[in-house]
Amino acid sequence: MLTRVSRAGVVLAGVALSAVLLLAACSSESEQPQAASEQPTAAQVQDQQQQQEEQSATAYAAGESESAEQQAAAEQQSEQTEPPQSVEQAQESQVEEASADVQAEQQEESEQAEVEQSEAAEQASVQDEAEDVEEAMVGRIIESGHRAGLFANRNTVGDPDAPIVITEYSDFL
Amino acid sequence: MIEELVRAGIARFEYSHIINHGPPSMLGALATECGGDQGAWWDFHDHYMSQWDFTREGAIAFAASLSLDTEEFTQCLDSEKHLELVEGQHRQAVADGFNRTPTVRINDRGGAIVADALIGQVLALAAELEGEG
Repeated sequence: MLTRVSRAGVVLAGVALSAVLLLAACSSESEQPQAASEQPTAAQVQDQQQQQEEQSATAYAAGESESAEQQAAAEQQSEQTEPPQSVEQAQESQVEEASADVQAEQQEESEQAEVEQSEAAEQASVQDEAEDVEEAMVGRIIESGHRAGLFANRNTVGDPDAPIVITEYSDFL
Repeated sequence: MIEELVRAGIARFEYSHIINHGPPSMLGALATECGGDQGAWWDFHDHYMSQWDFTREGAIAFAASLSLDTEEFTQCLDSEKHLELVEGQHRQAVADGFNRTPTVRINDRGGAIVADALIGQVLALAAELEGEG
């Protein structure tokens, strides 16, 4: 009885093992075409390589663009970080412009002062000439009376260069 | 005779104010100087030497008779424009020792009052200067 049972167990084990093997075989057969299908052909490999190259090129280009963008951003950032220097430069330029303006104003003022000075000198000379004319009008040749023909200048009569001066001190009374 | 010396170019004649008779003297001096502003100094000199009208109205009337600008003349007279000049001449004359009128000086020497003597002094001085020259 026991023998029969062991035999039956052996048979069952064998059957199970065979079933397992069959299942395994089936599963391997079903997967193998898929694996075969998954195995790339030479063309596929070439395509993949080409795609990879293209991708790498695209990535490189993208990297370049990214690097350019990064560089621009960095420059912009650097520009943003540079404002203190640019402000100083602007201040310096403003100071220089202000000093230039001041110099120009000073030069203009000096020129104007020179012009005014020359005008004042000219006016003074004109005034002197007017005074000379006035004095010449006061100093005149007497036209009538017993002194007619003599040169007179206010309280003086006669040649101004005469060597002798006769002075009369009087009060008409 | 003095005029002959002046005409000959030997001498020139000057008049300097001395105020020995108060306001009439001052008015005559100021009026003469105001007339001098308009070229009529010797006209006023001769006027006051010939008659003694030492009034403001008389001076203005004489200025008008000479066709001077009476407004300017009056302003000059009323403002005593030449007061400093007249007083300066008076002070200088007194400082030089001339306090009597009339007094004549020939260059830096005292002169004679009598005309003939004065003329003689002038001619002598002229000869002296000519000899030095």
